[in-house]
Amino acid sequence: MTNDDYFERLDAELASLVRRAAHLEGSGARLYRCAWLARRATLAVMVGLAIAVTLISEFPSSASGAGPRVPIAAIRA
Amino acid sequence: MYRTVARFSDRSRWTDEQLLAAIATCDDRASSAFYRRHLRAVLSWLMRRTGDPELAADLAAEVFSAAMLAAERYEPRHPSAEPWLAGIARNVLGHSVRRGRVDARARRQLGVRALQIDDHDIERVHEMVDAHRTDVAGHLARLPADERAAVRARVVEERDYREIALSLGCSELVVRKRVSRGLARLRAELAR
Repeated sequence: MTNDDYFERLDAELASLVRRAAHLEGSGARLYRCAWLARRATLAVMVGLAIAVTLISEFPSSASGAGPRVPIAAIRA
Repeated sequence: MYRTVARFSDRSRWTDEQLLAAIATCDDRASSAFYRRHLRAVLSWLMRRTGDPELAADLAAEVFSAAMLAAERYEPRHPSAEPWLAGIARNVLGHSVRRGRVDARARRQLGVRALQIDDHDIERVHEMVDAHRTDVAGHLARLPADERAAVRARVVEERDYREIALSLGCSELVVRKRVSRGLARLRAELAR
């Protein structure tokens, strides 16, 4: 099929509607969208946690702010 | 491992039942694979009954839209979904004939945008129908001789079972079995 013939456009159109759950009936579509949102939220939380864990393991003292401080006098000296 | 993943993700290898189940879970790649697998057969079916490529293309859009809407309720009765699609095509065509205009209910429900058909698309319809005819002729030629003769007489020449039984020198029941087996084999071959 060439890039923009009728059948190619129809294929893309149907695929896009299926991706957006347009073919599911009322409750099915709502359920799908809820599941999709839940998956996205879980993924976002997991990515956030992974980043936090990486940062804390790389910079443990700066993460808590409780690391030993260098006396200012030592820097000025 | 990589091969297993690649095979699983290659939807062109999936059965119609797997594709329709995936469509029901909003898998757009399954929708595309299903559409591409059956487009030529649906167009050929519609062209045989309407003889008009523009109308066949328009009705094909309606048939596939209706198939997407019904994917959730699909119950496999054959190895291929082609008979199911033919049933949808028959309904769409029947409804269009009764109303005197092209059925667009499924497209409206699904929200498919209106797509223009031009001369190039009409050529594509002819190409796809010819390619499908060649495919079917090739598979028909590879059927066992008794099944081939029965399928050709019944489906291509549209003769009745009694007449075929007389010409082949066997009972009607045997002819029916040969036609049924031959068609099942053809469907399985075309679904690959």
